[in-house]
Amino acid sequence: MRAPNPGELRRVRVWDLPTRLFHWLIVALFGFSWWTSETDHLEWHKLSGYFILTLVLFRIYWGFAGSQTARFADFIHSPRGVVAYGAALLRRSGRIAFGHNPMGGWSVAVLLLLLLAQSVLGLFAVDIDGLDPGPLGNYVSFELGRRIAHWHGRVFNLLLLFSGLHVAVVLFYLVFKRQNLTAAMIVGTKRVGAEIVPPPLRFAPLWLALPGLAGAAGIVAWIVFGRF
Amino acid sequence: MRFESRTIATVLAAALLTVAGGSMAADESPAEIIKARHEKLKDLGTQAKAIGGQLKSGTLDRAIMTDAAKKIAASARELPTWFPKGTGPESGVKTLAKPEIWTQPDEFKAAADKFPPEADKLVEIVATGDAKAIGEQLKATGKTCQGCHKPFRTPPEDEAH
Repeated sequence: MRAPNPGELRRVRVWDLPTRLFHWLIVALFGFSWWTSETDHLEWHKLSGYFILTLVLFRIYWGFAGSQTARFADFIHSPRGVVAYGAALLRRSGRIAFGHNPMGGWSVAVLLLLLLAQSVLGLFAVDIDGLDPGPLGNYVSFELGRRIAHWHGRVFNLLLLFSGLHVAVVLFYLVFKRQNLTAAMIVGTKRVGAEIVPPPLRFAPLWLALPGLAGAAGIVAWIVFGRF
Repeated sequence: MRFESRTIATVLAAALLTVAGGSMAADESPAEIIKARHEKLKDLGTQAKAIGGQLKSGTLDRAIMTDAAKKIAASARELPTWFPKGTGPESGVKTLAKPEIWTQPDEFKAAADKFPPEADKLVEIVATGDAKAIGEQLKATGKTCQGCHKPFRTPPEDEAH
């Protein structure tokens, strides 16, 4: 192998296909859920929520069984690691993360938790007319179901807040740190200087996603079609 | 004389409005009426949900569904009397009832009048025990709920519909 020329770039694989698909499907479904809620398309809204719940359950599975950069163990850092990373955040030459950086990892964890909470609340939420509750609505009274619907609205505001923060930080990286995180999440690879040696990353075979996806879809189908 | 007949007319009109407006007894404050209204509307939701719940669980308990449908039909008739004048947001009591209920009484009445026939039909169809038909009629009845809620109820800020 020849010695790299300074300034030369090369592509390093960072994100596997399931992680990328998860990310962009969530973006699309989050927008769709928002729109169907604003326009009172409850049937579509519920459908969208079932897909989101399926994806989030899959993502939790993938956080244990997936590729290294998708695993919680890889991106949930100690508070000390987060502080150390945060201190260097405003330096243009901060280190490049292969996978989630220590702060971004927590952001992902928070967003995932909020998405999970949001979809589970939706399962129990009851509409104002009491006619179209979530599939687990029989476990709550009309009044409690209404209260849950209000929490569903509040968690949505939190989701807006944290996804807005996420987008703002990604833009900050693009403009200030000249790192295009979005492109990496689309194509899966990151362009880095040839002199940078990336850590060896393990990638899970694609077929390993199937049992997780089947399991997640099975749980959601059981909730939706089950006689509860 | 003119002045007097006008006064009489005003008094008569007020009396008529009070009667038309329903059971606004002198000893009931707007707060009490609004609270009672909330309870009655919550009960409507509870009854509607009870029928839907039977469909979702597949239990199809005829007694539960009939009881709920009858309560809905009875409330459907009373509903316009739950909104006497003076029980809107101008009362200072927290309510999502829009002033339009009283400024557009004809529209409100037209929307409210759609409710009883659908509710009566629900009572009939529940008696058949046909889950699919019950589901459809429940939806049709629900449309009349929305027919009032959309124009005449203020959606709360944090509401998930």
